[in-house]
Amino acid sequence: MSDAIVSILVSAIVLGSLYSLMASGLSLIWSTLGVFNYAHGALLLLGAYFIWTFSEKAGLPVLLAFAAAIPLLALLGILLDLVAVRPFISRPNGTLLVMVSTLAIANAVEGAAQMIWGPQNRQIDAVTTATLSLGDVKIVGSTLISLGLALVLVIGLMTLLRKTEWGMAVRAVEQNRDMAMLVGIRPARVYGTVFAVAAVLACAAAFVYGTTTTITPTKGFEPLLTAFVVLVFGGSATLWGTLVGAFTIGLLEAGTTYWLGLQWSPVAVFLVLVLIMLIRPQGLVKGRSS
Amino acid sequence: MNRLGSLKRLGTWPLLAVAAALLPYVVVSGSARLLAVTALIYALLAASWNLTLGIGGIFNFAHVGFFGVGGYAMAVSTVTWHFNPWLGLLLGSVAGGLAGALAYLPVIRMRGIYIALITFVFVQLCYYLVLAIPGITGGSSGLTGVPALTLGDFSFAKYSGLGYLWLLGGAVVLLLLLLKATLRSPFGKSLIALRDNEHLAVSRGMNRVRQHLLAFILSGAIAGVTGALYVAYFRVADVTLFSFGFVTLGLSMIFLGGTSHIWGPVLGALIVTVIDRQLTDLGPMRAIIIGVGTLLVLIFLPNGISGLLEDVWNRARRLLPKKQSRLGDKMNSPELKEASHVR
Repeated sequence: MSDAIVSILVSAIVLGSLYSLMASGLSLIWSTLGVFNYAHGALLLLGAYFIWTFSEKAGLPVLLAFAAAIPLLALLGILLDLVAVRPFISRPNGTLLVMVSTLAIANAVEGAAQMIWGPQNRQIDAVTTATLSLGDVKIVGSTLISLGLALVLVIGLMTLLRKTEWGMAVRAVEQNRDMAMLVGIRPARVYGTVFAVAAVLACAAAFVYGTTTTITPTKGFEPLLTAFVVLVFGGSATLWGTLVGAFTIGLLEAGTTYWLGLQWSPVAVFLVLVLIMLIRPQGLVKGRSS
Repeated sequence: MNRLGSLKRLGTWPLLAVAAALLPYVVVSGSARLLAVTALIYALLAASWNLTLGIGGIFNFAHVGFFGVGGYAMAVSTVTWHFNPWLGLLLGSVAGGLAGALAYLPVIRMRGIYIALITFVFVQLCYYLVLAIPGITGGSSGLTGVPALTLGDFSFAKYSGLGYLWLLGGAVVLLLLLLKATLRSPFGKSLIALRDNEHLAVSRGMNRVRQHLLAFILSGAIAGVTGALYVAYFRVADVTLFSFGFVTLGLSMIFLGGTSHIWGPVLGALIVTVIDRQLTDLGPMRAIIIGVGTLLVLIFLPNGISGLLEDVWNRARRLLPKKQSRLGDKMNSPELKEASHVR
């Protein structure tokens, strides 16, 4: 029985790390621009494929490959903002249009990945094969790396938002765009950097995802949707909530997978979402209108 | 010009009905009929989707789910329970309507982007539920061997789907008539009022939840029948009914055609289906072209083709010297005014 609990906890940690990285990027975009980025799963997919290509084809060590993918993803984030968000954000129904445009881009990226990397399963090599023994229990090193990456980046993002000039600019634009412009902040530039940062977080999520499971061109959407559930569950207002939500949903998913079977865990997660929506919608909509 | 005017007074609806009746004589070859049937099914899907998305202004992404639920209702009732396929169609519409009601429940108190996300999740939930209960739905391999629709001894699948062409052509005309009637009815007007100025509409005594619930049920029921027809034609139901590709394809049809006219999505569906057919041999390239094409349409054609045509038509008319007929013509097309995004 304790074996079962340990294996559930380990996969909950990995899933929670993945979801917290995905959801914090989504949350950043959502709170700053008020739009949902359906192409976030596509960013994750591209990040994973870049890391895979750099390590498998170019022969770089995995960590270096990850480092090399980060600036690429940041550029893609800025590009995404330019083509899929900038043209629509000020139109009537802009949020709907951004959703459709990012969905279209996600679809196009899926096709492109299919063409470039083929439909085969790809997996990024683990950084380390070392295991940590705690009594009877062995914990694989990559689990700890995932957890460390998620905690460092999400808490780092919180600190950035709180302490740096960039963070203040982001929060200023989020709270009052016009006032922010009056004090000399350029919202367009803030939006671009927000997308770049979110894309880098998606790249880190890709690292966690690609080292723990196989990737195919169709696999970007699943973590995206669960990350959205996390966002709702934890409340989109604070990144602490996102962290708590991510690991709770990770635990729920790992538990249902273990006890009910793989195909039931998304059903359980989405049913929980619907229940939250019915019981506590005000927590979700509070402070924001669209 | 005069003859054109008298034709217009006759109305476009009988013309459309005649066109639907003559369709099988124009579209003769098997592959062309397959394309035409597919286009008509998509037309039904896109036009009924527009009832909530464009006319209602609700960010509903669950429509593909209603379509899939209707399709599965057809497949399960005919393959597993051996029901008559016509009863399957009826069950498809009931199931689609129920799915519409169910999808609306969690979003009653939501606005905009949240509705889009939750309704999107609804489609995913359908997808995973189908996989989770393979005993009923056939799981990932789907349900095959759905019987074709028959009328006496005549099978609709005969002569490369002659019966389906008539049935679907008639259904599209009927749906356009139904949508037109809806737009003119107090119900349709209340939907538009709620879309354009919710606070005012509610303060004048409109019940937002009830009207939107009705819109979901109505458009869900139509999507359910459409899904059932799709399954009855292709004789198979599988999880691709709930796939992302379907959602993107449907949205690209609506936005290419334009949401401001009831015939916009139909036009968009016909165009996208034909383009999509040309792209099937390209494999993954198809997804790229559809995706990028959708993006370009969104950027450069904000009102879709129907908006563009209306624009061109209005400009062309302004060039004509006949000033007095303009007013008369405008009064003759109330749906034009009703459906436009006047704020």
